[in-house]
Amino acid sequence: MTRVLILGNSHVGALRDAWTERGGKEPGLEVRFFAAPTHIFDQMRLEPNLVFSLPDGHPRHAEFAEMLARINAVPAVDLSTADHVLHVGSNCAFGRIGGLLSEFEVDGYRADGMTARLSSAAFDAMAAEIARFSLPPAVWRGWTQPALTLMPRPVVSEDCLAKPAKAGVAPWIRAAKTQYELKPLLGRYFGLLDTELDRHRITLLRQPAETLAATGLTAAGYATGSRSMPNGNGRFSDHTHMNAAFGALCLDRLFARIRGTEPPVAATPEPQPATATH
Amino acid sequence: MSGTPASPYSGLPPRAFWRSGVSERAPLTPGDLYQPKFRVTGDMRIATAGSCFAQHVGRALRGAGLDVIDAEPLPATVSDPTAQKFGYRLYSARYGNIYTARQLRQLFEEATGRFEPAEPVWSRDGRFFDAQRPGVEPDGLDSADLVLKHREGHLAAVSKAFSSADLFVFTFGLTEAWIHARTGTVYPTAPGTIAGQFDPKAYSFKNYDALEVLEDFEKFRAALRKINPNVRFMITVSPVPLTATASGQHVEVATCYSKSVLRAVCGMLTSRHDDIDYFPSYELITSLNSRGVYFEPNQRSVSQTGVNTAMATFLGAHGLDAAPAAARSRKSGPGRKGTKPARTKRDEEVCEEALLDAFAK
Repeated sequence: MTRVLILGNSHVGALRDAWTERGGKEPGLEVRFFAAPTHIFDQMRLEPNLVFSLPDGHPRHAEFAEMLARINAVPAVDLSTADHVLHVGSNCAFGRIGGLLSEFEVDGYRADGMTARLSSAAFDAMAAEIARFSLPPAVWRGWTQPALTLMPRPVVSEDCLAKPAKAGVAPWIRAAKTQYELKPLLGRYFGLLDTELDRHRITLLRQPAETLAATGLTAAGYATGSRSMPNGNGRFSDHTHMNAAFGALCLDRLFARIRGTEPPVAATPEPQPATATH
Repeated sequence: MSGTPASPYSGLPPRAFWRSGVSERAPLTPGDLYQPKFRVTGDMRIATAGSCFAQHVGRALRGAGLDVIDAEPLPATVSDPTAQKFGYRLYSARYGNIYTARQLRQLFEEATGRFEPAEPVWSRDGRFFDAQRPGVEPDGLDSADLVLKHREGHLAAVSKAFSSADLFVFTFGLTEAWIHARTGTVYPTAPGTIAGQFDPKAYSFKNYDALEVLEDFEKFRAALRKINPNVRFMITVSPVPLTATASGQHVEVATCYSKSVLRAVCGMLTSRHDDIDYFPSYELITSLNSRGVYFEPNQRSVSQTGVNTAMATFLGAHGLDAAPAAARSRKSGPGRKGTKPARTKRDEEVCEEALLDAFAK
């Protein structure tokens, strides 16, 4: 039995829902979850012995520990008890890459309405820097047992184009409206992130390609009914949390990787500057 | 005749005499070499350009919290080293070093549609470079067409930066340049150095004299003032000696010629125009008072101490702090970890609700 630990912030919710829907079983795999809201998850620390917990003396320790216990039944988790760890929901500096893509037409990728142009070499240098910035803290890097896989938070859902959105998604709205080839541009970034992570023995699990709409954003259907955006009751809309259908595809991809049956990621096409710009 | 000075020199301040102004000045004391003609203030929008020493000037002005124009900005999250590798954040637009007055004039005339450079694109190993700023894309671009597209955007930024400036700071660097022989188009580097191929029939060496430098800056000033009538100028001469000369002279002799011409032109410009002030960075750095410590061991590069001394003198003369609190706090922006907006209690509650729901099953 291969032991799998899925841990992360609120983005774990979609995977957990999917796991529940499939009855909490997967042949040959023992799957556990550990999640914390981002404001708590970001305060937790991984010790060298691979125990992930709230540091003693944290000013909100009691409050946060109670919340962790309510969610997970335990306040901490030992990663060394797993064969595979999936770290879910890291923002991977999405705001930074979104900012870049919302302001520049990159050579070789069609865009409209941009006032500034960026060479592909400059884009790669800046995107690689963003990728390095988004690496997890040093204690998460360089070990092989358990195997560590990182799955960033999803790209915002395209319903943000039509509905009022939080300020943080504004760059993505602009990028989706101006970049005709947002999807391959993001693919280029994830390729650079993959390279950076690989240097630290971390593998990248990309958002399933089928969940991305033609705009490059997450197809709206994968946000519908997500826990952070309940259907039609208007509580709030964040466009970043996805539903169980999304989580199911993520689980499929994760399990295929663990079993070695995952289809290879299509290479990011090289830009064709002479014809692709306008 | 009592009260009439015995000599026009009697009664002059100590700074007017070599003995009191230099010989008796404590070592590494910059003295009051600079008395501003007009005040540089915090509300001025400043454009910077010039030879490599001008990078120090721009950096110091930004560090002092002054409003230095960046017409080709990058997101603040891009680090300075990465930005500067591609020519960003060095000057008010991405033109790289502008060594000669002719290059400055030519750039502005091109930006305002009155000039087209000859051979605007150079190539090397199948890559294409902007001949007017070959260093801003170290690996070149995929096609000549792309170079021209980038240049079009750049020229718009140049026009915007120059026309919106209240103060234009220019550091004169060189008199020597390489030009297109038939048209006179000047290039910032010799063909074949970064890109292009040197062809002695197509390109020729040019060492501008004082009258040519004067005319070039006068023409630039007049053109800029046509669209930006209130702009003022702060000019200075780079104290950095020539790396190499093609004049046939010893490089030290050639450096002296070049700097002398530039310094003389600065003096002429300053005396002719009330809107032009001269800042003596050349004199401050090369002063005998500095005992050479304002240069690095290669006796060419200006040391950080030298840069700091010159810029502190400039800022102090204008009553500006070298690193005001506002500027210091801004340093947390570009290239460094950005500050994330604080999470609200509502954000926290939302995340908690979502997870509790998912894990409650």
